[in-house]
Amino acid sequence: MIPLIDVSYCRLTTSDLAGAERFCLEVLGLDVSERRKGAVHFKSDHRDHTLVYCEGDPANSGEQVLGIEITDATALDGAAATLEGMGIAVRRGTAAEAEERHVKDFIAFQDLTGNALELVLRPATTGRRYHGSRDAGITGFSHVGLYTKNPERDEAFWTEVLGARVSDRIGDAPLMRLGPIHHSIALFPAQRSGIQHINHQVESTDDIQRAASMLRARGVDITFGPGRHPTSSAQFLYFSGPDGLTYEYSTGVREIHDEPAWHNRQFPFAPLGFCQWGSKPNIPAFKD
Amino acid sequence: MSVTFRDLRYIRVAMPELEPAARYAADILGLQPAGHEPGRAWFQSDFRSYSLCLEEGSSAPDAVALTVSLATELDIVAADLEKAGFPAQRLSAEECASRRIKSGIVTTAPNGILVEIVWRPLDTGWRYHGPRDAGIAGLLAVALACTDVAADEAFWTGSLGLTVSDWVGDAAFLRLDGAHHRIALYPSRRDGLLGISYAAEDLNAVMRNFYFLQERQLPIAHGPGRSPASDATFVTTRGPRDILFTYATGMAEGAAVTGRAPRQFRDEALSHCLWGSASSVPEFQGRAG
Repeated sequence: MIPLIDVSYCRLTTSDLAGAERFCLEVLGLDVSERRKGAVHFKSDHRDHTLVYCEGDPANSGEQVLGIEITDATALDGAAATLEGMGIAVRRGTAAEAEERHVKDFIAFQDLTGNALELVLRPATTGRRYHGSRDAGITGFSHVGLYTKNPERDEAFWTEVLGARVSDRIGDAPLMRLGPIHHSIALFPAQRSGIQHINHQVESTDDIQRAASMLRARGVDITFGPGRHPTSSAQFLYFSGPDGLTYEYSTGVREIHDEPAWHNRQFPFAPLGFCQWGSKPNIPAFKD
Repeated sequence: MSVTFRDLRYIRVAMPELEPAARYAADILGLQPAGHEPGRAWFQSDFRSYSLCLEEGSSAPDAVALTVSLATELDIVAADLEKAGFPAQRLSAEECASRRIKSGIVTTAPNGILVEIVWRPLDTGWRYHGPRDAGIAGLLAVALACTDVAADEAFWTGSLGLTVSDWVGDAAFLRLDGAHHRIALYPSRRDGLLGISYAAEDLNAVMRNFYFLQERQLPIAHGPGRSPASDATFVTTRGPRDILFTYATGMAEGAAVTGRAPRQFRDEALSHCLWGSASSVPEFQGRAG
């Protein structure tokens, strides 16, 4: 089993870097940590950065990358060997690439659906705290929804190879934890690969609801909520970002500390499986 | 002022047509029918035998009732009101029976609503069980529209002894027990009853009701929102006769309210909702709106 700690960052490509930066600052409320040639890094918490937008083709899902922190150097070597043993092509990151990511070392590969993943060693933390460009109440990058072309096969890969545990399922979509947080990775069935949504946690109900008013006033497309997930108990708000990617704010996500005491539950793949308040998703991956 | 009121007891509302209003109270609001007779229907929301009475075609103004602990306090309140220029009448035996009280007096507030002071109102041993799962936890507060809000504030605080917890502009939130307010007075172009608030169990109940109303395409007059003055999270709809009905949870109470001086909030919409929800109600815009 590959010992993973937590999701670390998302690297996304866009054909409109200035527009993506405007969205990240004015709407999402992130903080620029660094500008590089053709890329902007954004900060949402104590970590050096948790989101990067690079110039490129947003339609190429192979360039929408999720970085996940791995425990140590031995584990990183072991992971490369394990994945190669399964016939998965593994690429070692170059020193320049590692520097760009502010990590010690990393490997890159694709899961069986074709989602681009990077396992990273010692991603940087900074002393400079996150100070959002607006008072969004963000406490940090928390989880990612990925597409899966075969939920049963990919759930097995994530649980048996990458050590994730299923916390709950909505239909055939598993919500999986890497640490105590109810889910760090969720897989949503679709005929494609790539990142389906990116979640940031916010401090309170007030932040969710104020965001709803703010986004509505700005004409941002709110696609789901404000609502509350019966699975994780988190209150949420989903909305559209650059290149049609879904972003989510949530607060109050359940933590699972007593592993043996938790039994995953099955929720229906229907509006009430996603929201216990009665809000209905207008997100293709959350609808039949 | 020598009397402490026990509670905000009931609201009586005149309705041009009883039948649709009664259906609304039960099916939409989730209140439990608690008796009816030709021209009248009562609704339960908590331990009270009723907290809302609908009266058909009545030309009488709407009424708000407060409870006293002792029969002798009715005389004390009557004397205080008389002194302040608000003569009070004793309610007849028949009037008391229809109000489900032992005895009471009635006077008229500056904004024209009837204020009834009642003794020994009927409670019920049967707990509230609504026709739908609205999560109602009880009668919370009443909102009044006032063309001369200073006169109404003087009436409620001076003659009846309620305390101002906060002002938003000239809107005054008045308390009579541990809760931030039971009576809210809003400056308005009209006089009378503005709305009735029911306590909801929790945020889930407020938000479920929001989506329940939205799904039925009923007007959302305000919210979902949160009041910076009372802390309450609320959603408000507009019902029969344009009366506002609110579900609210988390209203400040106890030392958080009684242990401080009243605060003045700016006369603007954000002082009525810190989430920035839009409202179609002129009374919730503030002067800046």
